[in-house]
Amino acid sequence: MTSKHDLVEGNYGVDDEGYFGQFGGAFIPELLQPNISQLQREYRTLLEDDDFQREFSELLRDYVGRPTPLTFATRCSEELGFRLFLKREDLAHTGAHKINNALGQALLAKRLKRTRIIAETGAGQHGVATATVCALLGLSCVIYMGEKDIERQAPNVGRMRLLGAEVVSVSSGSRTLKDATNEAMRDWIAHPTDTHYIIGSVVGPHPFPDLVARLQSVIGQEVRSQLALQTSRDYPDLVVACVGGGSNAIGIFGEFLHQDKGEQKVQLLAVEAAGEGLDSGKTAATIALGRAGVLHGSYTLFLQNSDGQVVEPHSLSAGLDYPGIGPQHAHLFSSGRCQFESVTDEEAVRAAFWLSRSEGIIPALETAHALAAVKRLKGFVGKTVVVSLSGRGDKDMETYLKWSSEIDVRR
Amino acid sequence: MSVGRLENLFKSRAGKLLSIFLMPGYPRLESTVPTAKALIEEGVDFLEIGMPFSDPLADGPVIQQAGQRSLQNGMNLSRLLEDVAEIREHSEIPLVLMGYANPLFQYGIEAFFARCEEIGVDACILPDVPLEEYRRHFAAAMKKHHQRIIFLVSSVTPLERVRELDAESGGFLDVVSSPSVTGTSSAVGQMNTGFIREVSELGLQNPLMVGFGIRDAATFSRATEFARGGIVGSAFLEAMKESTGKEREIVKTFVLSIRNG
Repeated sequence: MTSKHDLVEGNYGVDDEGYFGQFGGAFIPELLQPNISQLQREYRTLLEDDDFQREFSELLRDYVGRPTPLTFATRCSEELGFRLFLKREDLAHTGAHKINNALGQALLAKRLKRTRIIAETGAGQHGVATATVCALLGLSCVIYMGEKDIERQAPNVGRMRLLGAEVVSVSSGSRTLKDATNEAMRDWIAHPTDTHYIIGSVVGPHPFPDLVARLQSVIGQEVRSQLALQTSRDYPDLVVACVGGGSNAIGIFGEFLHQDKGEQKVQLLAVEAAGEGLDSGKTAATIALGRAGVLHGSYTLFLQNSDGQVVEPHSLSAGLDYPGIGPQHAHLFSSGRCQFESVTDEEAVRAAFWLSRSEGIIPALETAHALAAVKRLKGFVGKTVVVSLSGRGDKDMETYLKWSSEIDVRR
Repeated sequence: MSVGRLENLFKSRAGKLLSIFLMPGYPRLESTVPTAKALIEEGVDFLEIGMPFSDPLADGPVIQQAGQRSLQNGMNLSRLLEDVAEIREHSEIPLVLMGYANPLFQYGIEAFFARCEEIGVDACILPDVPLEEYRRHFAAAMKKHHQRIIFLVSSVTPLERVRELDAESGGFLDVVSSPSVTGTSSAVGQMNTGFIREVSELGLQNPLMVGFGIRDAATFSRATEFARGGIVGSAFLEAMKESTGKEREIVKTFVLSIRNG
């Protein structure tokens, strides 16, 4: 069976069994099977439905503020010797790309006659985005968040509650994002008929990785039309994005996936969090250190020990502090379509200061990882590079202030 | 598939069957074999043996915590299979392993089921492996090594799919009495015996064992009204929390409390 999607994305898209190459699938308890299989059957039809498309694109325009700008980074470009463009997801409502997915899935949930929304959150960005769209659409909203994350992300917890969401503290396991995800799945198992689970990234059982990728694909589509207007052609030489689960990366890569060879090739670079360093034992570098297995419903790469127990990751950036990566990314890595690099906590903080002072934009710590990789690029003189500026840095001010006194940021 | 211990048990044993779920390495690393021996001594009909996983997304707090404790105690899959081999040397009771997919992938699917056959495991319940992924990743190795797969069905499973799961299952079907994770209060409170009755009238090839929500004689008798028996998990693990050195007494009291009230 060939759909329009398959023709566009060649071998990089999802197949009829929910796999990207050897990665993906739907490893779910039988109790979730009716929900998941309904989504599997209906998600493409629902997303392609004219009425859905109209409502989604109107809200993206009038509520989220899309299209987000593509900003030419003048001073950074001068310093680096190539043309650097910033895709400004930081200017989307709630301050990150997360809202694209939350809005799309909430509209989907309404069409599936679900009245109750659940979601997991780590740093709180996806939780805030979900609470926001639930307020907008009149859906009841429960956000699962690890006890530890609730302590370290107090302002976002306050935002979610102000928006009317119930924030449930998760005290099981390591009390962070991976356990919040487990707890949201458990909630879904116990509420099979009235609830939709808005997963925050391109992770989880099929169809979530493909569903979320489709809802985030607007990022790359806008880049193409904006480049066409602002430069002599509608594609860059390189696209760079940070990856935790990987939704902003897939969102901006998707449009260029099929330009994989020849003169019009677009290189793709995904940047993961090395934490305190790849060999420090405190890292979230899934591609560098992970092995294949089943986590949160899909067969993918993640940090685990030799007995198959999940290893708790570390990154200064709560949004990248996840042991796994979306199955499509695992496939893009193993097929060689996408390159992966990692950046340490300190490199990321330095890059955040660099962008703040060069362009007057304070990026999120997650985004700063992509910027650190941009800073050290070699061999792109005269070329065009687009980086996904996935979120704004307000939420990270405490960390930035702490680090600015600890390191000489000008060095 | 050859007739095995589970089939013989269901054929020969009259009355309601009782199975107990134990977590190896809980409460202490050395608890596995003494606990299993005590259960066998008390006449439990078969054992379900958990395989601990760091992220058990179908389990409630009791089994999560027992699994976590077991891992902290140093339990791993190789050690666990050694314990199972020791239990098998001691008894011919049917043994069912229950655990999540990932540790099996890391052990090696083929190697794992080969080892299961070697040490006399009868069947496996893999709570995060639905029919579709079973066929893709597990069926070949399990069939080759004469391991039965036991699927869970619940009140949200369409009856058509119940038949499909029954056709692939061997030994019994694990009926979940209400849509919930293991050991939660709603699992106990909202037992859907109507659904169990409906499934019992489908003329399935496998007998039914009721999986979630049993914690005492009353819930056992209610759960098994339309089933061949019941499996007790969370309530047993709770009882075993402080059992070290007293496995025999605690197991005896617990099994009596389920059987006789």
